[in-house]
Amino acid sequence: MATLLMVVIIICWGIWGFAEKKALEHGTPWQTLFASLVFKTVFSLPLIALIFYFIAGPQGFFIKQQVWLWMFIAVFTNGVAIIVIRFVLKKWGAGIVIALTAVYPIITMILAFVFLKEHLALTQVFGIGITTLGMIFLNLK
Amino acid sequence: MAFLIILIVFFWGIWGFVEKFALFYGSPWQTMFAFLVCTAVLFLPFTVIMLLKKQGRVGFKINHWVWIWIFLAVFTDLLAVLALRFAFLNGATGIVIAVTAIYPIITAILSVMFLNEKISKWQYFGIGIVCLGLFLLSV
Repeated sequence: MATLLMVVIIICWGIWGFAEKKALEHGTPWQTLFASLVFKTVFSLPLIALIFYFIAGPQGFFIKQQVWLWMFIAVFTNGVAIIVIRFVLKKWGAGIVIALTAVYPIITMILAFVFLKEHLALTQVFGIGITTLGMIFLNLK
Repeated sequence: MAFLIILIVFFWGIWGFVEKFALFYGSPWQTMFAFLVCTAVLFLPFTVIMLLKKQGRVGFKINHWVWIWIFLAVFTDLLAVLALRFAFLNGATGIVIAVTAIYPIITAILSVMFLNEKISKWQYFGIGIVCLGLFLLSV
């Protein structure tokens, strides 16, 4: 079951980058962003609310203020990235841009290591090095 | 381009870190709900303002292909996020993150096949190396 789900994730995220690029062939970055937010608000929010209601019940909607605070920051940081990637995708190929930006877990890992004192295994340090090397290759013509 | 890529990587990196902080105080469903509410309340009005400022009312005359492709993008993104949560229930988190990190390969294949993008052999090699590195990060 997990294998099937992982295949679904890989295919879906792979299509996501491609579909964003196709949309940018027909519209501006601000237009695609607007359309994306409309779909997210109109379809995702009610769907998530419905699922959440059936899982947690009405009590689940009493969300701690810390969650709102951190989610405000999350929306801001994600928002900056989402805006900028549209301008980058408009100008450059999706194949390279998606691969280059997929390395963001490195930043999360370093921040978690510094501020949350999370352990960084040797394989992960090696992974950071390998990923950085891959980014250099991506910049070669 | 390099500066913009660094900016995206940096902000998405912080985003992942912040999401983790929020999970100290709420469930994954609560954080997801709060994220979508904040997006609708804060980010959507901002986008409307920017769209009006940059393109005026003409900007809202959006080509139907934009709606079609963005619908596909949002649908696949949402499906992936949901499948990710269920995959976590059925398998080890590290393995799920590691294996799914290879998704840029799918984007690269689709881009070459349908967008006629040119990717050099070094760049193919780079995509493979990046995916391998991301796999190692999650093991």
